[in-house]
Amino acid sequence: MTLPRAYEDGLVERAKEDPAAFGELYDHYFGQIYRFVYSRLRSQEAAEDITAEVFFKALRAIGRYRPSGHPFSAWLYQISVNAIADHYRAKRPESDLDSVIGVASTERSVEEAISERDEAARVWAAIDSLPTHQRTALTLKLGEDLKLAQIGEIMGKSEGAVKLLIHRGMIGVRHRLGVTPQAERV
Amino acid sequence: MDLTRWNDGTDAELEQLVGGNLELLELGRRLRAARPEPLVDPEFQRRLRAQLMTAAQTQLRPRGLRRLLRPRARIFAYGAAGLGTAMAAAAALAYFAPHSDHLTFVEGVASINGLPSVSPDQVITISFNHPMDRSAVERGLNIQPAIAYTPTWQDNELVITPRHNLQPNTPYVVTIPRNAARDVRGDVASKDITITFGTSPVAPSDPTGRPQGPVALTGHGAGAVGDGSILGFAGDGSLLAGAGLLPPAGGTPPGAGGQAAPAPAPALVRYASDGGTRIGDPVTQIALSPAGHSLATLGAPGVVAVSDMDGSHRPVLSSAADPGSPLAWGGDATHPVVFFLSGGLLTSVDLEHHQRTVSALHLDPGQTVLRIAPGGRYVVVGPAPAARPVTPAPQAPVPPALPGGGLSLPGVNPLGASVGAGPSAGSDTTTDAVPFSGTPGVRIVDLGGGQASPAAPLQPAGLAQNAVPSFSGDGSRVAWLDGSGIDVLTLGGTDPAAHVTLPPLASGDAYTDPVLDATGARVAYALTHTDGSAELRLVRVADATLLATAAVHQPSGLVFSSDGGELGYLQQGSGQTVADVATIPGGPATGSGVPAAANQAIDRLVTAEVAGDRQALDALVAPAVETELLAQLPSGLSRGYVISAAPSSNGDTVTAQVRLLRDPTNDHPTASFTDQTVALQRANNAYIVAQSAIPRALHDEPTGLQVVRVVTTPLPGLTSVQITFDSDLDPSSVTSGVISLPSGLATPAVTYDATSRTVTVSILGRLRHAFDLTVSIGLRDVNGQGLALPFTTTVSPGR
Repeated sequence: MTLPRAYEDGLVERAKEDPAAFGELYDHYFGQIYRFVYSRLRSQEAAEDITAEVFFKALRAIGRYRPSGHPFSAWLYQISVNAIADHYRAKRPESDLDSVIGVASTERSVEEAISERDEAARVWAAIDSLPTHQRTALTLKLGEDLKLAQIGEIMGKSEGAVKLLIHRGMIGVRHRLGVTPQAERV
Repeated sequence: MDLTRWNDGTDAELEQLVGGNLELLELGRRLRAARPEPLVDPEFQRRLRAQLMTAAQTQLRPRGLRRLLRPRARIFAYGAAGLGTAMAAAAALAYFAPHSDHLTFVEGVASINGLPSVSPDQVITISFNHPMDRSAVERGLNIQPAIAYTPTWQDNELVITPRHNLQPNTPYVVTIPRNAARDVRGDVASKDITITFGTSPVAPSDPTGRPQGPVALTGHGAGAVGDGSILGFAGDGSLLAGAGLLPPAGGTPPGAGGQAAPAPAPALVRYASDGGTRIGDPVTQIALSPAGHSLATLGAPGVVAVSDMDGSHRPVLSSAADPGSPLAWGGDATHPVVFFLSGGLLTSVDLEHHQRTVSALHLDPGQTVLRIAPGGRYVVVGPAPAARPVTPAPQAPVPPALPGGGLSLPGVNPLGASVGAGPSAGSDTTTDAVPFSGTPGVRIVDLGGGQASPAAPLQPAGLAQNAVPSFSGDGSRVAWLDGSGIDVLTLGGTDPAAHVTLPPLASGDAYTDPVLDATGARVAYALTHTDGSAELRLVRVADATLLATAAVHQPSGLVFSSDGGELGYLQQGSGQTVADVATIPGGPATGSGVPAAANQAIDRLVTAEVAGDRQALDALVAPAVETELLAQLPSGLSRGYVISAAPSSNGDTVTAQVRLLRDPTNDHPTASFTDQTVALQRANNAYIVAQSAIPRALHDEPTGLQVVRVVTTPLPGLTSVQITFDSDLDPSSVTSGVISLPSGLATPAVTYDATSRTVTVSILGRLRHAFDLTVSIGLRDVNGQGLALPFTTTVSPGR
C-alpha cells in the first residue's frame, strides 16, 4: 500500500515537471484521499467535488512541495482537511443516515448487511457529532490508520495534542453511543 | 483501484493512547469495523485524471535548461495587449482549453479573481473551458453590488462591460450558479462559479468611464455684488463676497423689478443655506487660513484684519497695507502670519501684531507684486495693471476685478523702493532685504522661503506678458495662460510643467486667467465670446480632461472652495453683477464644511486602521482612546471608507462615520463589515481622534444597496444632500417618495446621476436647524434589490 520512501520521493520530484509522474501519484493516492473525504462528508457528490479540488490544488502547489519526513500522503491529507473545513464553512452538508454505508458487500447476507449498516450508521453518526478537530483526528486514526505523528503533521498539531483529541473523541463517541463505563456500572 | 484497505489489526499507538482501557480499545475496533465504504464512480476517477493531465500539461514547469528547451506552450497564440495580461489570460485559456475529453466539468476562471485593487474601469472577463449555453450563463449571472452591464462573447469568453465604471474602493462578487454554468452539451459546473475582486480607491482617469462628455455645472445665484467685488470661500464652504449687495430688510433685491429701492451698501457678505449675511465692511481681498477657521481680509483704508467665519473677533493686524495688495497666509500651525504689501514691500504680520518686512524687491518702475503664494515663498511680479475707474460705493471704494479674478491696483504702487526701505507703520518692523531687478513682463519670483537669500526669478517659457499666474490653494503649483493653453508648474519640484492645450481663439474671444484648486489638480477658466456669452470650463491638469462646463455670461472672479467641492464666480446679468456658486460633482470626499486638516486626518486614520499601522495610529489617536480602539478594531481588514463627516458649529470637532470592510473570498463570498464612529478634536491646526466606537464585530454585508458616501452642501437658499450608493440604481425608483423629511420642509427635488451612482436631494428654503433625512427601502438597484434597512443621515445647515 505504502510506496517505498525513496521511490516516492523521486516520484514527487519528477511530478513537479512531469505530468506522467503526477498521474502516477494520483493513481496511487486517489483511493485514500477519496475515502477520507467521503468518510468526512458522507456524500458521493460532495466527495467527488472535494477530491477533485484536492488534486487540482496539489497540482498547482506541487512545485512548492518540500519533503517533511512524512509520506507524501500527509500533504494530500492536509489539503483535504483544509478543503473539507472550507466546505463545512460554506455549507454544512446534509446528513443522510440511510446512505451512510453505501454499497453492501454482495458476499454478505441481507440480514448481515442491514445489521452492519445500522451499527455503522450509529457509530459514524456519533463521530459526526464531535467537535471538528476531534472528528478529524479520529477519522484519520480509525478511518485511515495513520500514525499519530502523521496526523499531527496534517493537522498542524503536536503528537500529544493529537492523542488528546483522539482520546476525548473516543470518550465523546462512547457517551453518544450510550456505553456506560464499567466503573459506573459497578 | 484499491479501496479495501480496512483491517482490524492491532494498533499499538491506539492501545498506548487508551492506556489499557479495554472498553475504549473495543470501541476503536467497532469504529474501524464500521468505517464507511465509499461509493466510487470509476468514470469520475477516470474523468478527473484526464482533467488533471490536461492541466498538468500547462501547469507543471520544467526547470533549468529543460525549461528553455521545452517547446513553447500555445499560450502566446492567444495574444493580448500587454505581455503580462497576455500571459495571464492565455494561461487561463490554456488551462481550460477544450480537449477531447467531453466528460469534463464546466469551469470558469477570471484573471481578476482574488485581486484586491483592480481599476474601476476594468471589464470582467470569464473564460470557460467549453462552448457555453450563453443565454443560460447570462440568465444566471449575478454581480454584487449590482451594476448595469452589457454581456458579450468572444468564443468561450464572457466579457462583462459595466455601463458605468465600477464603484471605486468596493469589493465585488460575481456568481454563476452551478446549473447556469452550462455548456452547449448540457454539462454543468461541479459547483457555483464565484469570482471575487476589489476595486482601487482612485477613480480612473475618465470619471465617467465612457466617453460621455463633461458634466454640466449648475450655478446657484448667491446674490448681487458691487462692481469689482472679489469672491472667496469660508472654511465651511459658504461663499463670501467682498462687496456683496444685500437687499434691505423686507425690501426687494436690487434689479428684481418693482419700485426702485435705495442702493444697498456693499459689505462683506457670507452666503449660506439660510441666505446672505453681512459679516463686515467691504474688503478687497480674502484669504482663508490653512485650517479653515479664520479669514484674513484687506479693507479700506489699508486694514489687514483676521476674523472668525461669521465676521466676529476681528482684530486689526495692520493698517499699513497698500491698497489692492494681495493677501496670503503663511507661517506654521503655531505661528501663523499674514502676508501683504506695505509700501511696496512684502510684509508679514502675526496674530500678535508683530509686523516684519520679509523681502524688499527692487523692481522696475511700473512693476508690482500681483500675487503672493500661500506660504509666502513665491510671488508674481509684473506690470501694475492700469488703473481703472472704481465704481463709487456709498461707504468704501472697491477695486475693479480683472477678467481672471485678479484685482487691479488703483493708483501708483510705490514699488522700486530701495533695499531696506521698509514701511513705517506697525511695530517691531525688521527687514530682510533681497535685491531683485525684474525684467519687463510677468515673472514668478522665488523668495527662498522668506530667508535673506537672493530672489530667483522663475521665467517659465511661454509666460505671456499680460498673463497673471495664480497659485493653488496649498501654494505648490502655479498656472498661467500662454499662447497655446495653460501651463501648470510645480514649484520647488522637478516635475515638468503640465500643459493644457486650448483651442485657438476666434476673433474677439478671450480666455480668462486660469485658477487652480486647492492642490493644483484641476484648473478652471472661462472662454468669453464677443457677445458676452461664455463657457466656464473645469479641466483635470494631469491629462487635460474636460470635467465640467457651465454656460455663463461675462464671467470673472473664479475661485475654488478649499475642499474643491464648489466653484464660485461672478457673471453679468440684468444690469448687475451676480455671484454664483456651483457644486462640482465628485468634489469633496467627505462633506462640505469639514476643514481640510480634518479630512486628511480621517483619511489617514482609515488607511492606518486597514493597514494595521500602529505607528500611524499612535500619531493620530489620543492615547486615552487608542487602547480601546485597538481592542475593537477587527483584524484582516481589506479596505475602508468615510461615509460622512460633519463639523461642529465652531469647527473644533468633526464627527465621521467610517465603514471598515473585509473583502469576500471564493470560500466566503460575502463582504464583512463594521461601522465606526469617530470624533476628531482640533489641536492647533491638526486634528486627533478624541473618541472612537466600533460597536459590532465584522459581520456579513446584507444583499442589496449600500450607502458609501453622504455629502451635505449648503448653498444659498438651498441645501444639497448627495448620497452615493455602491450599486447602479433603478432610475424609476428614485423619486421624492423614497425620501422622508420632517414636516414643515418643502418636498425635495430628487435627481439621480447614474455615472456616479449619486442621488441628490435638493431642499429649498432657509434651514436653521439640523434634521434627519431618511431614504426608504423603496429605493432599488437595477436587480430590484432595495436597502436592507432605511438609511438615515443628519443634515446640518452648515456652520
